[in-house]
Amino acid sequence: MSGAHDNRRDRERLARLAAGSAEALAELYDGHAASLLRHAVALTRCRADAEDLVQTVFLKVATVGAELLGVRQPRHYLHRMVHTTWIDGQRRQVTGRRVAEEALFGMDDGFGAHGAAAENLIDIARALARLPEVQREAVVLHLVEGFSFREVGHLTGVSLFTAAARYRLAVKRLRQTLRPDSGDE
Amino acid sequence: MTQAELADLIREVPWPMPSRDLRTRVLTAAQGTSRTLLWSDRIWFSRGWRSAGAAAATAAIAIGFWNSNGRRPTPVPQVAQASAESVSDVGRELGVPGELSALLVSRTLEPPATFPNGPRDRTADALEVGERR
Repeated sequence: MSGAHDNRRDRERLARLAAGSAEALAELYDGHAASLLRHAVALTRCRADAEDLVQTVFLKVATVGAELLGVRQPRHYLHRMVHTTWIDGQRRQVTGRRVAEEALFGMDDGFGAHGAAAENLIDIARALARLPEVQREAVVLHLVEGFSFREVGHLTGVSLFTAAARYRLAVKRLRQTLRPDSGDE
Repeated sequence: MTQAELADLIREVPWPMPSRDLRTRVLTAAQGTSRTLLWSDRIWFSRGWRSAGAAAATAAIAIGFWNSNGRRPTPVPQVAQASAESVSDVGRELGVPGELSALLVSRTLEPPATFPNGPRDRTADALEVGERR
């Protein structure tokens, strides 16, 4: 999670990017691309689409210009841009939508281990892929990226309570999927 | 499976990392998108400048308010007090109505600066009250 120091450094990078620095964009990319890609994968369920989404976001950031000087929380700003760019893309894509039913999110590494642990991870990845995208997004932003529910709500344009409810529903559904006989709590 | 175990499992999922190709794509596509920043942009989007502007506006409003309403009341000189008493006495002897008499007394007591319309207008006001009577 970004501390105050990282936040200040990112603001400086955004200021340099606003002035047209290509190095600043590269630094921002290196610092945030992995996190943004996880968020994008949670939305798209497809690695290729997720990479396209991340590319679009960075291009948008590179062309924003002077408004970048007013950004107080660069990490929030980038994740919010992933969310809004995804929503905009969904609205435009009436037809020709790419099938995004990749059960494992296009995860091509990390499953090298065998045994129960690897099976668990594959199960959880499949269960995550079956969640509605808003719930999956809440899980990834909260658990994987470490945002608070208030921040998740802010990033996704909903209230704190809605963000928390989405997360709770997702966890409930995941538990039911992974252990169908376990029921609630 | 407890909620904590589930959370740990989700964190352990090997999420995909960005490919090298993506970095190249981003940096290549972003070339030529640079803009020049104007000094007005820097001022407009600078928190420091905005705070300073807001502080200056607040200070100007506060000073204006203090100048108009917060002025200390000037003490009524004894001469004016005596004049007011004599005006009141003369008015009573002449049978001037109480309202008109009070208005004349207040005109005597109040300093000229606080008269919004000036002394002449106040006299005209007083005469109007008398005519209405």
